[in-house]
Formats: sequence, structure tokens, C-alpha cells
Amino acid sequence: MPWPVPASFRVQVSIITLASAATLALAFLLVREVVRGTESKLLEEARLQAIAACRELSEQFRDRLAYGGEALAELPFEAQDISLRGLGAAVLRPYEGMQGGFYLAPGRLAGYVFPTGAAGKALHPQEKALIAETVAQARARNRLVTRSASWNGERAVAAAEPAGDREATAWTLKHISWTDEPGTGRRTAWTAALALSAALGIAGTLSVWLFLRSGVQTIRGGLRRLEQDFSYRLPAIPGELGEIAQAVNQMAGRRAALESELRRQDRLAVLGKLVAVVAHEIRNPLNSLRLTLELHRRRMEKGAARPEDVEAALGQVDRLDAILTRLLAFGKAAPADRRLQDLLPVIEQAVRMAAESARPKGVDVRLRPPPQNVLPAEVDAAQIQQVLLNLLLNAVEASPSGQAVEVRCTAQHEAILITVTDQGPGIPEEVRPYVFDAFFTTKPDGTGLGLAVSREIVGRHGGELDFETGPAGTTFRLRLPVRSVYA
Amino acid sequence: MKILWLGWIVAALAAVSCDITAAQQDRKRERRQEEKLEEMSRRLNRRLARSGAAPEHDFLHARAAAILERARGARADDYVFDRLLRAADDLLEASEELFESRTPQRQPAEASQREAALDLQRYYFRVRQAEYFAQLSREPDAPLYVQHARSLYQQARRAYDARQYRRAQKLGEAAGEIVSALEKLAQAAVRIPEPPRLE
Repeated sequence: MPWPVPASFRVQVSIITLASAATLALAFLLVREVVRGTESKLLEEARLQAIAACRELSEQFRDRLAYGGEALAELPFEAQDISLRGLGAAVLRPYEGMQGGFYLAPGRLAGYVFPTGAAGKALHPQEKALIAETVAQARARNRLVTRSASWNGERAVAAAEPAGDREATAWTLKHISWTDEPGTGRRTAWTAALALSAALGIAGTLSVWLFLRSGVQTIRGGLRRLEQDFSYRLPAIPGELGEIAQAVNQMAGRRAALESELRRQDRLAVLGKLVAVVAHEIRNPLNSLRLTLELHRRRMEKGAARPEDVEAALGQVDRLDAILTRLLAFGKAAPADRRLQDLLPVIEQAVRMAAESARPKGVDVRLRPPPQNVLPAEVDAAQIQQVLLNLLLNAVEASPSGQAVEVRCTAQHEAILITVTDQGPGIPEEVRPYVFDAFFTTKPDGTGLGLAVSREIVGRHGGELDFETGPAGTTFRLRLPVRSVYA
Repeated sequence: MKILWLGWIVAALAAVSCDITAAQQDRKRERRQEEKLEEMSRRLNRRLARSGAAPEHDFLHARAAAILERARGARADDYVFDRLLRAADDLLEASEELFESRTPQRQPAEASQREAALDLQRYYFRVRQAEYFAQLSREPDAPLYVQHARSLYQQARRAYDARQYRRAQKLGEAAGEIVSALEKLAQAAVRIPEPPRLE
């Protein structure tokens, strides 16, 4: 059972890009969750430590009031500050990174110590603000409260509890340090590597997509151009697509060589046929000419020469001349005079000439005006007119009296399309494969070269000539490129 | 004119009386300080006269005497005088507690284990503050204070283990008093300007 992979390259790339984007998003969410989890864990640990230290600080303060001898309140502030610093230092020394002290009403911080911190460290304004807010809350609620705040990428948690009386409040503060969390560096490295690999995946997919899209567009454009110009070759493309382009170029080269060979073989085949037909075609008029001339000689010997015999002989000579002229036209390419010009007057003239010929037969030849005012194409006007005239005369011959032959023309996709439609009985099925063969004819006085020559001319212009036929009539389609590709 | 003279005389008398009052107050303060010094000296002498002094007593009495001398020189600053005098008082208290810890128990009965345990917890916490106050006190022999406080607490802990709860309390109290003396010395040091150091 084949794996259900979408065939479209664009769909595949979209799926890979979406998968990579989803991986990146998941990595981002994972990192965020890890950071949040670690942060909340550290915050909770710091909060619990701050609470424990604050409780111990306020207990020791109460103990100091109860058993400490002289009353603190009666001492000058400096003395109170020193006593409380000693108390705070003893309490906070076991708490790593914990700082603390007391808030003495009205609004003085006393006994500030940071036993495990840098010596002489002063409170940061943001720290003071956090302590003031926490102390105010503790005093308002008359119980222990905690608060946390962030500044300059740092996070700190503070705890405060009224100590003994409403005039003194113990407080503690601890900063959260990422380096405190074991394995944080390793986790950060892993998550960063995950995010980086996902980003690289997306970037790689996009670059592959861009490269493939560019290559496919180049190949697609080249193939389109190859349809018009078989001498064109795809440009060099790096990578595997380049191999495809090279294979296409090789195929095009082989096809051109094959076509050339086929043409050559066609010519040879035609030549063989030509020899037979020419022999046959020429022998008939020659025999006729011989008989006519012998008759004329006998009559001259009898003194009863008749001018009709001479006329008949000349008619046979003309026929021979016509046969040879057509053979020459088919056998070698007439010198082309291709130039970019409006094809419409050429078509109109051919239609007029055919209409003249068709009038005695009672067949109407008419041109359906094209949607465009001009039909520019790089052609040899005389040759194309010959082709059109050939098609039109064939159509007139095939049309019953009173019917019409219709010519349509239009510009389509860098090409001019001309159709000649008759309302005759159509081409019999058994004859159709040989319609364009040289010397094939169904007409008693035909040479069988008209359509063969026409197709040859059209082919030299890089165009195509084909037909559709049925009981209701036949349509020949002539397609000429705007720019001649066999210049 | 007479009124003016009378006013001048009244003002002069008031000024003189103010000067007299301030001078009297200064004399009163000095007298009080002298009395306190005298009382403390007598107390020190009584302690020195007592027999059976432990090795810690020598240190406590010597430091109390030295601090009393410093207090005598710091009479101009009431705050420093008061802190130094109280430091000397704490040292003599420590000596007293130490002495009592070595006297046989008579009345009241042996203290309960629970009370002794709670007291020792407090003294333990107090001794933990000793090093901090020693740093602030700028006393050259501050480490000795810390050492004696720790030593007395260890003795108190051993007495507690030996179920001598009253002795444990007294020894612990003595350790706490030494730390209190250090605290007072640290408080006094706040007002004493530190001389500049030569770099």
C-alpha cells in the first residue's frame, strides 16, 4: 500500500514548513513553560525562605523586648540600629542571600543587615520601594505578608510581619537568582538548541522551497519555449534540477536529430515515390505528346495538318511543365522572404482569388472578420498565400453548389490561427491518413502535391497544419507562430 | 528712666539666674556621673574582694575597670558615658552570675529543665550576636569577649547536660551579659569618630 504522500511539491513543502513552524512554536512554548516553572519554583522557594527568616526575626525582636534588659525605645536611634543589626545578623546568617531589618514607626528603616551579601551594600531604591509596600501591607493587616517585584531583569520577594507591637515591623528580602537552580544552564542550553534546530529546519525548508521553485519555474519556462523553438536549450541550474534540465536538453537534441533524420528518410521515401510517380506522370503526357506529334506528322505528310494537334501537343507540354514546377516547389525550399507583417491582407487576397474561382460553381467563399484589426506574423506572404489558396480551392472543389466556404482567423497565444471550413461530404476515413502524403490524390487530374507542399511550407514557418472532418464538412486548421522560429 | 533701669536690672538678673541654673545643672550632672562612677567602682572593688574567683573573673574585672576609666574620660558626652557605664555594669553582672553559678544551691529549689532550656535558647541566640557587636565595637580585645561568651555558653550547655539547671542558667546569663557589654561598647563606638587611616 503506497504511503499517502501528496503529490504536489507545493503541498509537501507547505506541510514541512508547517511542521517546522509547529516545532518552533512548541519549542518556544516548552522554553516558556520551563522558564515559568523554574521561575515559579525559585520564587516559591525564596518566598518560603523570606517568610521563615521574617518570622524568626520578629520572634527574636519580641524576645529582645521581653528579656533584653533596657528598653529599645528609650535608646537613641543609633543605639537601636546597632542592637537590631546584631539581632538581624544572628538571625539571617544561615539564610543565604537574605537581607533584612526592621521598620520603626514613623518610617525609619533600622537594623538593616545582609550577612551573606557584599559588605557595605546599601538598599537599592527599588528594594526600598518593595520593602515599604510590604511593610505597609503587613501593618495594615497586622499579619505576615509577602510581595514580589521585578526590575532590571531581576526578581525579588519580600516578607514583612509586625514584631511585638505595631511600632516595629520585621522585614526580609531575597533576590531570585537563576544560577541558584541546579541544571538551569543545561536546560537553557537544551531548549536553546531545540529552538535553534527548529529555526534552522524552517530556514532550510524555505531555502529548499525557494531553490526548487526557482528551478521548476526555469524548467517550466524552458519547456514552454522549447515548444516554440526546438533549438532553445534550458540554462544551467545547480543541483539535481540541473541534471533534469540537462536531460531535457539532451532529449531535445536527440529529438531534433531524430526529426532531421525522419525528414531525411521522408524525403528519401518521397523521392522513391516521386521517381515512380514522375515516371508515371511524365510517361502519360509524353505518350500522349508522342501520339499527338505522330498524328500531326502523318497529317502533315498527307498535307492535312491541323492546328488542334499542335494545341493538344502544347497542352501536354504545359501539363509536363506544371508537373515539373510543382515537383520543384516540393523538392526544394523556395527562397523565403519572411518578415513581420499583417497577415490579414494576405488572407483577404487569397479569399478574393478563391471566390473568383468558386463563382462559376456557385460556391460562396467568405471571410469572417477577425476580432483583431491586425494579425501580425513573421511569414513569407507569397508562400502563405499559396497555402491558403490551396486549402480554399480544395474546399471549393469539395463543396456542393450553393454552399459556402468560410474562413476564420484570429490571434491566439503568440500564434495566428486560420481555419478553412467547407460543407462538403468530408474526407473518407480510409483516405485521412494519406491526405498530406505527396502524390496522393483522389482527383482525376490532381498531382497529389498541394497539401504536401502546403504542409511543408507551414512546417518551415514553425507552424502546424491539420484538419477535422465529418459528414457535415471539413475544417483545415493552419497555425502560424507570430515569430518565425526557423529564421 | 527708672522703669528702664528697673527693666535692665531685671533682665540682668534673669540672665545671671539662667547662667546660674545652667551651671547648677552641669554641676548636678557631674555630681550624678561622679556618684555613678563611685558606685560602680565600689561594686567593682566588692567583686575584686570576693574570694574564689574563676579565671574568667580576671578578664571581666580588668575590662570593667578599664571601661570605667574610659567612662571617666567620656563624661562630656552623656551618651557615650552612659553606654560605657552600662557596659561595665554588664561585665560586673556577668561576674556576679558567674560567681553565683559556682556557689552551692540553697533556696529556692533547682530550676526546672524547661525554664533552663528556654533560657539557654535565648543565650545561644545572644552569643551568636557577639561577633557582629565585636566588629562594631572597635575594641582591640573584642575577640576575647567573644571567646569568653562562647566558653561560658559551652559551660552552661555542659551544666544543662549534667542536669545542673540553675548553674546552666547562671552561666548562660553570664555569657549573655558579656554580649550585652559588647553591644553597649558597639553603641558607644557609633559616637566616637574613627581616626583616619594612613593608606
